[in-house]
Amino acid sequence: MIYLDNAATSLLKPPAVCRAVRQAMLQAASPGRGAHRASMTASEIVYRCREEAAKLFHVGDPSRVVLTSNATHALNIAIRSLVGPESRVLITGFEHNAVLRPLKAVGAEIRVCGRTLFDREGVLRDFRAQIGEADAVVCTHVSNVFGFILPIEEIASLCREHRVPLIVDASQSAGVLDLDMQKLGAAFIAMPGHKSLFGPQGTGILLCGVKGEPLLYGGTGSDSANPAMPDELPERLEAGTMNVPGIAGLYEGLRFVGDRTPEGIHRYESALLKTLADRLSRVGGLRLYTDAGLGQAGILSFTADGTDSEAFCEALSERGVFVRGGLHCAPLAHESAGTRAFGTVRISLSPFTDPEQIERAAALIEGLA
Amino acid sequence: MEKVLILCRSLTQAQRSQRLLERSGIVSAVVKAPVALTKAGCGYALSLRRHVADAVRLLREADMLKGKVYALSGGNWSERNDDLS
Repeated sequence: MIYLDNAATSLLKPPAVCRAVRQAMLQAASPGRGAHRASMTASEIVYRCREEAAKLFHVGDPSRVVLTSNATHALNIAIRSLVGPESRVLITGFEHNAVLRPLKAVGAEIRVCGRTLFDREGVLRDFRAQIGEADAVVCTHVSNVFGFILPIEEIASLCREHRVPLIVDASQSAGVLDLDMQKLGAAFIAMPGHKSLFGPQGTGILLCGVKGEPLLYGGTGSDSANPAMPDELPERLEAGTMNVPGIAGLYEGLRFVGDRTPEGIHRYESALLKTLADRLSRVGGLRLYTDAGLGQAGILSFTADGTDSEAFCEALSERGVFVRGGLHCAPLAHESAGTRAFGTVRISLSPFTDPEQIERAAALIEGLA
Repeated sequence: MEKVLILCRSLTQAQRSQRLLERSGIVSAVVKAPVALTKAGCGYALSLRRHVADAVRLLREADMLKGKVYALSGGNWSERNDDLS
C-alpha cells in the first residue's frame, strides 16, 4: 500500500500515538467528572494536550485551547460566535465546505477574494479592496485541493489594521507551516487533530483569541448549579464527555510535530512534492496544478485528459496507491481553478511518505495516463 | 490549620494554577471542592498543606486567584481573608 491521502487523514502515525490511545482506554475515565485516580488521570492527559498545543501554536494560556471533535466542529463554533445573519464576510476562493456551509447556514453575505490559483498578490488585492466593508474574515491557510499557501500573515495584518475579526482554517497547515496565534492576532484558529498533527480521527483544536459562544450546551463537570454554560474557557465550549483516548493520541502527535518542527516537515514534504511534480510533468496527458513548490504545501492535484478523476483514483487504488479524486468537499476551489467538471486527482504527502513510494506511484500514474 | 482549599472556577483553571505553583516549588493537589463550599456546585479546588501564603500571593500576582480560600481546622472549614501566614 502507498498511502497518499494525508490531506484527508494521516493514516501512518508515530507509534507513540497508538500506544497512548490504548493506555488511555485502559486507565483514563472522564476529566472533570470526579477526583478519583481514573478521572484525574484523564484530566492530566487533557491538560497536557492543551499545554502542548499552546506551546506549538504560541497561544500562551492553555485554557484558550479548546478540544473539539474535528476542524469542522471548531469552525462551526468560531463562525457561530462571530457571524450572524447579513454579516458581511470575506473568504478566499479556495475555502472548504466546512467554512462555506456554516456561513450559508447563518445567512452571512459572502464575498470571495482571490479566484486565481497560486496568485497571492491577487488574493491580497481583493482583500485590501473589501476589508473596509467586512464584519469578519474567514480564510483557509492552505487549500486542501491544491496546496496553495494563502498569504495569511498579510491578511491577518489587514484584519488587525481594520479591526476585523479573523478566523483561520488551519486544516492543512497545522503541523506543516508556522502558525503563531499571538503574531496573527486571530479571533480563532481551527484545526483537525487527525491530519498533520497525527492524532486519531475524532480530534480537533480551536485556538481562541476571544471567548466564543457555545455550539453545544450540557455538562462540563463544574459550575453545575448554573443553568447557563460556564463563562470560562475552555469549559464554555466543551459540553459533554471528551474523547480522552483521542486526546491522549493527539498529545503524542503534537509532541512528534514539535520534535520534527513544522518547518522541518514542510521542508521534507516540499522536496518530495518537487520530485513528484518534476516526474509527472514529463508524462503526456496530465495537467499538473503546481507552483513549483514555492507557495505550495505537500498537496499536488492533477487531471488526466479524458478521464474522470474518480475513475483514475479507482484504477490507482486497484494498484495499491490510495489518493483522492472528486471535489474534495471544496467546490469553490474547483470553480476557482476551473476543475469543477471532473474534479482532480489529489496526492497528499506526510513525513512518513518516502521517495521510493513517490517513484512507484509516479510510474503507476504514468502507466494509466 | 490542617489544610487549605483554594476554590477554582473550573478544572482547567485549577490545573493551570497548580502548574504555576509547581514552577515555584509549591506542591498542591487538584481536588473536588466540598459541595457546601461551592455556590454553583461541582467545583474544583487546589489543596495545600504548606506554603499557603506564598501560593495565595503567587496566584494573586498572576491574576489567577478567582475563588475563595478556606482553611480546615478541627474538622470545620472557615473562609480566610487574611494573608494566611
